[in-house]
Amino acid sequence: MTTYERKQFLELVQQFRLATEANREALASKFASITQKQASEGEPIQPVLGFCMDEAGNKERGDAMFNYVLSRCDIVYWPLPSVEPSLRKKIEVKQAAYKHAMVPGKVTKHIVMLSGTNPHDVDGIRNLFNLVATGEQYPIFVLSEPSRIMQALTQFS
Amino acid sequence: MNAQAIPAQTLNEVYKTIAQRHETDPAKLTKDQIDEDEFMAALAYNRGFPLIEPQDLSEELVGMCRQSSRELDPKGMAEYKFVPLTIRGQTLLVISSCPWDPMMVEVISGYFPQCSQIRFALTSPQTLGQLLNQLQGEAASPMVGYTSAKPVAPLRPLIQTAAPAPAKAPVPPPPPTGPAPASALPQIPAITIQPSGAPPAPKYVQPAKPAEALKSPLAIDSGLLSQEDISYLANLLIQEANKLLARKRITKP
Repeated sequence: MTTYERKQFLELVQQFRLATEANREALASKFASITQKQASEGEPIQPVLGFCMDEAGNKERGDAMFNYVLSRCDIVYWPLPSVEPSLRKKIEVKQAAYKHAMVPGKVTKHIVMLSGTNPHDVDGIRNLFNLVATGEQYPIFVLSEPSRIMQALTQFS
Repeated sequence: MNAQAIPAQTLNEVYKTIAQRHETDPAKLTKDQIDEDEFMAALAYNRGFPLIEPQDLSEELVGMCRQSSRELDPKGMAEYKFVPLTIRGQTLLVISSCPWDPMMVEVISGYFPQCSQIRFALTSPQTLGQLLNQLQGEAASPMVGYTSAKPVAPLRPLIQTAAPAPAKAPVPPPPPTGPAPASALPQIPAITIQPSGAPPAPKYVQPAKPAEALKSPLAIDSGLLSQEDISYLANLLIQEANKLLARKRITKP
């Protein structure tokens, strides 16, 4: 688990009492084993937020987690993440997007818009931006639900 | 340039951002040569807002807007330059070409009292016009943008002048906030104060600018408060009275 993943994990575990002090590490290692398997199979890596929402037990609690993250940051919610069509066949972009659960949604002459689930993931934003930016575009990061991000990631060929 | 509609501080920050991108001094920036796309991109970046451009007006996005705005009058949305996109939890996402306008925020808050947070996606006045036209199922009509050379008349009329105001777009009043249905509660009807022979006033009119307009109570003669302003204030009072009645009805043992 990276630093930014851990930060979000601990925040959600504490806020939503997903685990006790005693079994928190067990939950973290469950996440690690899931993501390792996904990485080895070349699948998109499930974001921490998605994992915690799954662990919440029911949809309402899962939604409350996302809403909590949304309300705690200044990042704007974006309901329509979609991979920029011109990037869907680029392997290196796909790998970075899978790794960070982040979608390069819009790349124009002036702007690069990335959708993700972790507001702390500065590394992910930087990596993906550097891959898709073709000039001096302005980076904009927006927040989407993990399920929408995972769905959008399937647009990569 | 219609960038005058943007608060000076925001505008300065946008020019600074563009100047940084061009590796030049903001003072040396030739502002008239900044194209609309770059200006909007810098503005969006500066505010941390997603940017909606004409190519982003997909069926899905328009469909979500249609769903979220079905209770609102498109003319009212055009007047205040916004279209609600979606609600997530207590956060309302709104597409707007002037997200800095406190009056617009107040109007939105009235319609979506369940949303404690309002977040914006930025769009240009032209794209907002296109979106509104699509919501109404009409062909797009041209609108002037922030960096266009042509001056643009404000969509929303300014404070009341001496001449009688034309009938404005009726915006339905915000829904009641209490849990009981409005029809179940006694309602005080909205009142309209109008001079004899004047055209009927719309349901919702431009609120008076508070600081200066209210120096003297109901200063009609000096032209500071129009009949419509008074109607608006009276209706505001009635809305509050209705809410109070609703609350009393609910809490009554």
